Amino acid sequence: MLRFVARRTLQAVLVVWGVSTVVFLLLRLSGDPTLLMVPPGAPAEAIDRLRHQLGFDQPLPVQYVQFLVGLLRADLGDSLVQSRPALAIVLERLPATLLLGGAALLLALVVALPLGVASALYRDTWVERGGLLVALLGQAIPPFWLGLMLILLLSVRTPLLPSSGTGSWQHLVLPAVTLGSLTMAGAARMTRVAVLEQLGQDYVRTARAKGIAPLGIVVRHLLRNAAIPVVTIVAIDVANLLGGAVVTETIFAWPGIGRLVIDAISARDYPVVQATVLVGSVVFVLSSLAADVAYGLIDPRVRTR
Amino acid sequence: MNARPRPVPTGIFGIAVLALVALLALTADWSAGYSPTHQDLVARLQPPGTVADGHLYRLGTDSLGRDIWARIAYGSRVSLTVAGVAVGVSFLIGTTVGVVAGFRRGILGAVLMRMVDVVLAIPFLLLAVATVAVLGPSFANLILALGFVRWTRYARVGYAQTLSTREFEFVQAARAVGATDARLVLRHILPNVAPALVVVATLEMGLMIIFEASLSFLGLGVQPPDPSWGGMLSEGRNYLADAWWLATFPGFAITITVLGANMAGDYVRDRLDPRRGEVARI
Repeated sequence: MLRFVARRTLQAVLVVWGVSTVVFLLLRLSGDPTLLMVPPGAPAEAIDRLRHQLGFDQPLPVQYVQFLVGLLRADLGDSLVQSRPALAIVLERLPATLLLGGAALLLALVVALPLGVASALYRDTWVERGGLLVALLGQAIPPFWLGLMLILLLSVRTPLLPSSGTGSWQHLVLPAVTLGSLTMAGAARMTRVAVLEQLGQDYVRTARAKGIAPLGIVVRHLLRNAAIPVVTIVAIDVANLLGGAVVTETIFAWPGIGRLVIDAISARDYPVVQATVLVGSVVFVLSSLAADVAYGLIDPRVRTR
Repeated sequence: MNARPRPVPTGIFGIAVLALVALLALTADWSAGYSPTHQDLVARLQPPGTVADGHLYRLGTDSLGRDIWARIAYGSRVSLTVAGVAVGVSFLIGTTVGVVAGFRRGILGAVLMRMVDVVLAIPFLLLAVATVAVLGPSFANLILALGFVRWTRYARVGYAQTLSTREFEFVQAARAVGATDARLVLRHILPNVAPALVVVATLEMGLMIIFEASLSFLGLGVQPPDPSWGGMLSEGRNYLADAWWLATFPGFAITITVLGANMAGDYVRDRLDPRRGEVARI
């Protein structure tokens, strides 16, 4: 088990190194990153000074080594707007995004798991058709439009819930529903397929032959086995939640890293943009790692893979 | 939800919806009935069904007095073009990476597939947003950002399929009679790998439409005054309290189109994937 965890941790470190390389190259896609960071019409001397100050006048390999050395010291450069470390700014905003993402995930699972199990068990009934419809709609409605419609109906027309800001659980409801809708639909579909696959297994027939009631089979045997593919999908979906936060936080003025990246882009504060992409990826890599280690604990077959 | 072939109607429905939206996009000059950028400041924020200057504003007007129906009709061109071309670009990149990695294996294959892991580890929208921000928001850069970031699924599927296909006897036989690598890949491997990749592409179409609208909504896509569904939603956001129709109709348009694309995608998958059979029930 220890070797399994060590191997997966090493892989995660390599992936983070790869991500940081992508982030490094991304800023240099445009040719001259200095021009991205100055306002249009800035004088040439000011541009040259900034280029020198940020080290963009060095050869690319030198810049890359400096970037990696900085990374090892948790230094991703300073924000051009706030004149303090970009990483610190992103980390201050991270808890708000984690809270929103966590609430969205929880909400999605609370709806999706019963829906998925029920539509697998009650096949060819209105339960299945209803579940299918909810999942289909959940995957087709763009989250930001859902958010706007929720604001229109529940904040503007009937003032039940606040449309923006933070501070109470009421502030969390609309953004969490908005952000969680896609995850909910995906998880419901996945749960249904996973339960259907388990229904065909021999152990289910054996349990039935022993006379265990259907509900008992579901609770005691089926869910445990169906959990692994569902957990996989949910762990992968953390990336979608982090990406979706960009849009959701913009709509609801939620002070997380998603809104930070949009603000940083309009302020041409690229060190903060870089830091946000990197931190978002590290959060995702860590959650995948945690999911993998969890399977290793649940299912010994995973460890030998 | 797809353990067995879905009854045909949903698939047909999806394809019909997509065909209708495509028709709308192709005939926008005629079906819109009005210019999407013509402003009539006297007829600002008029509700659906308003008649002004002898023109019926079926879905109302926006804050500059532009016809919302006309903007939706022309906006469908942006949505379908960006999504379609971006799917094509990511399909080509991902298929090339996946098939080359699966065919060559070895160090090249390992390096390519680790690259896939890296790109997959970056939350997609975050990467797409940052890419457009660096390249500058425009129609072409929107396609580039979506296409160049979204190829990983094709690479994974293409890799797995190529690994199994290259071991089949007919491939080994072709190799034994002296077929070149290029011929092996193009004539023998690609035709067998393609169906799975087509399934991925059809399922990606709906997602791409949502991603395009998300970026335009954030101001990083198609720029005003050109109409795009995401951009219209972003404008409508400021008038939620006074003019509900601004944000409502473009969202409907996106939802219906994505629903059609997803239903058509599920249908294609059920038709092309023979492994999905009947299962028992309790």
